Amino acid sequence: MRNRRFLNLARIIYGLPLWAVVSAASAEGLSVNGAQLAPVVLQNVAAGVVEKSVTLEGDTPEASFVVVQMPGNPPLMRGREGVFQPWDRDTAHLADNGFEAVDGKLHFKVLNQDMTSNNFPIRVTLYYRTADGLKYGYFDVLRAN
Amino acid sequence: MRKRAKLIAGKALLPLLALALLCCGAGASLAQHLSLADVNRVVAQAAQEAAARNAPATIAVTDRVGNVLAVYQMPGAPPTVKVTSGRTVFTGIDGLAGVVPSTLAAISKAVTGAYLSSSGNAFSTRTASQIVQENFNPGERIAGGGPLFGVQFSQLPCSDLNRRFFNGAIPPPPDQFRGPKRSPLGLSADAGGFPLYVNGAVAGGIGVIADGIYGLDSNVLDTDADTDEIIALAGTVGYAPARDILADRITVEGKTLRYSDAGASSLAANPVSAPAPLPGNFVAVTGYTDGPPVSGQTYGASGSGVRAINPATDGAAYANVAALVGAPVFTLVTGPDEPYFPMISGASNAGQSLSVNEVSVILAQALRVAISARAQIRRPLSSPAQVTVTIVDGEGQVLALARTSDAPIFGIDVSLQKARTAAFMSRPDAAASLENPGVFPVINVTAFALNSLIPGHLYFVHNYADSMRGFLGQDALANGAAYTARAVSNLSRPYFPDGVNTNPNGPLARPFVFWSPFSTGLQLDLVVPNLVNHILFVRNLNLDVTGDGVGDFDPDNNGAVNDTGLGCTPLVSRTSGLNPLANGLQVFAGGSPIYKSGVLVGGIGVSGDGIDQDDMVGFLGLHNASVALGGSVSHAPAAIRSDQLQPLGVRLRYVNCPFRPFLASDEQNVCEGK
Repeated sequence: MRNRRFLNLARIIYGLPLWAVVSAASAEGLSVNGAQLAPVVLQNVAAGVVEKSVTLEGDTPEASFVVVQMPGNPPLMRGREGVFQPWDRDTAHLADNGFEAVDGKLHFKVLNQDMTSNNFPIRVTLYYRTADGLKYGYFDVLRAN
Repeated sequence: MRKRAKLIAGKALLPLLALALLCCGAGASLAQHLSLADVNRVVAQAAQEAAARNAPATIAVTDRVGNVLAVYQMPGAPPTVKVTSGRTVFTGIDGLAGVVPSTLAAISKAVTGAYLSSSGNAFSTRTASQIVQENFNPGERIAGGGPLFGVQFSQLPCSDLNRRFFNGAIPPPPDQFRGPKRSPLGLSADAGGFPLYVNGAVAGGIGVIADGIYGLDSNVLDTDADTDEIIALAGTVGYAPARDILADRITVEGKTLRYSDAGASSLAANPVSAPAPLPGNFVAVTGYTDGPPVSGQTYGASGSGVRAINPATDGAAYANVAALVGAPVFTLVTGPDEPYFPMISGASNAGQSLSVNEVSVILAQALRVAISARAQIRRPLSSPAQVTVTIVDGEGQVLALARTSDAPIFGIDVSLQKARTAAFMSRPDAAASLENPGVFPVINVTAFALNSLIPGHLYFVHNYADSMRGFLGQDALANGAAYTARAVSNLSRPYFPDGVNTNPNGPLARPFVFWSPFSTGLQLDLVVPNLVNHILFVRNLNLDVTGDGVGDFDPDNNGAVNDTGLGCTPLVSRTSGLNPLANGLQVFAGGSPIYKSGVLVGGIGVSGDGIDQDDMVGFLGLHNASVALGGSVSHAPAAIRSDQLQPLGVRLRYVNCPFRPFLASDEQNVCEGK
């Protein structure tokens, strides 16, 4: 019983960033320590649309960034036009995607392409920068079996 | 200076025999595969033996790069296994019963037989059992741990390196049948897994589980009559390795390895007369096979995912490596037929980073050391070492990977683990990363899930950064000390120093009363959420661990539990947000951090031969690269190396090289002063 209480508590405190226990519909936010976000499962890889909304919890983003990593490949950063280019792993060099906050949320557009020739899973890292610094979180894009 | 010149000259004068052996082991072609008929025959032979023993079995066959070619489950075979070391340990995954499908146990055993073996050495899961325990040999007191201590947690299902199979995927992803594939439970130490050979080359592996116990052999002094092992051995008839390369022809630290406690006389049925397997017993396993048996990939061909570097198409950097080495060099491929890990420059740290040229020179110099070195684990004697070498940057990102042609497959993932371990543990923010609020709460949740799955089971998680501070001082893992994989290994043993059975544990290990190869410490704790997630995915078991009446593992309510994602551990780099240990921590020797002007810029990892050979290949390779590059890259400054640390009055190690390691020279103390 005590264990179960802990689990519920953990769910509240940490958003239980384990596996997929977090409901995809529940609020997810980024953090200065890196938040683990619920995965996205692609049922149709030919229409590979991946987007994610995060709650801002009072933050005012000045810039927003997306990094995608496919198996075996170095991480790529998304540009404002949706084009990916190599990233040198320095967050100061990330390209601003310019997503705008609406109703306390930031909606990230990540992928929108035919992904039949891609290997899975894909790791996506989202970042936004505020006057206080960088917050980030990551999730995996999975292929439905 | 004279010594250095002699060493370099020695490398240039490789014996012709060594070059010939590098290509093809004892002369056989590596390009072999298991045909569909082979797969059916192996299964039939094993199934007949199981039937003769009235021991319904689950039988798995893989190819050399881990593709699952068949899983055959006889009626009445135990559906799940109990994971147990046979000790009174009920922590970690030790004692996990009724959860792990037998199919996953069989696959892990088959992968282990295939991955640990080569044309120069045939190792079984019994061999693995001998070399992963707290003492080597197991049961021998006041003896150091097994030389591959920790290798059981490699090839993990969450590894970002090992590829995945997608059931019924239309169209299949590019690497659907490319290796190396992941192993569902990591490598196995449970007898009943053997390599399969065709024309003297490893073509795959067989794994059998019939007894419902996924364990290990804690006593190598007796001879077991292990049902799994006997059934698997029947499967290998016609596909057995040459007698001369069996594990029991190979010694490590003067101790003879074990291959099998079963022999031809153990068999109850004649394999040659085995009837064809029943088609209805081939089963699908989520993430591994669609059910119907298939033929294996030919190692060395692009379809296997591992082939020789093509200087014309793989880019100038890999072409440069091949030219500098002057012997066959292999790498992984993807897509149409291009390097899986394109060679790239490293991330910057304090203005320093590895360039592509530096990466290629380090890689080439390490491989040159390997082919000059006398192998520890290969037959015939005086064969050159065969290894995989991987270089990462400080963020754990792969900058390049290459290998000699016949290096065991397991070293691909392990070399990356070692490189990342050295780079990560040497970062001054390693303690902060381990204490990130996103890390241990995640593991704790899994721990409680495991506890709730197994009545009486306990899974506790330490704060390992705190343990390290208690052991090494308040600035441990925060002061930029340079840790090799060997030093991490020293700290990860259930006794400190290693092998002294009366002493307490190292700070990265559990106390021995809670320790077993299934319950190790930081290494396991970092990946246990991934392992449990993967098992539930394969079973599509939507457990209700929160007790609210609703399963917790299908958040999108599509009726399917999701697989573990790209990368093991909940760690994130505090500078890039990327996962610095994305295929897990490794705790045996063969990885060193890389520096430029005293600044940490990456790590090099080596795996495939003896641990001292692995250590030497990375250490000397980096040293020789430093010489070749005029000092632009280097080892850690001596003052910050882990061998300057003396917890409890015991000096940690940095590197340990073999006594007289080279084939073409009698040079000794080759790592001294470097």
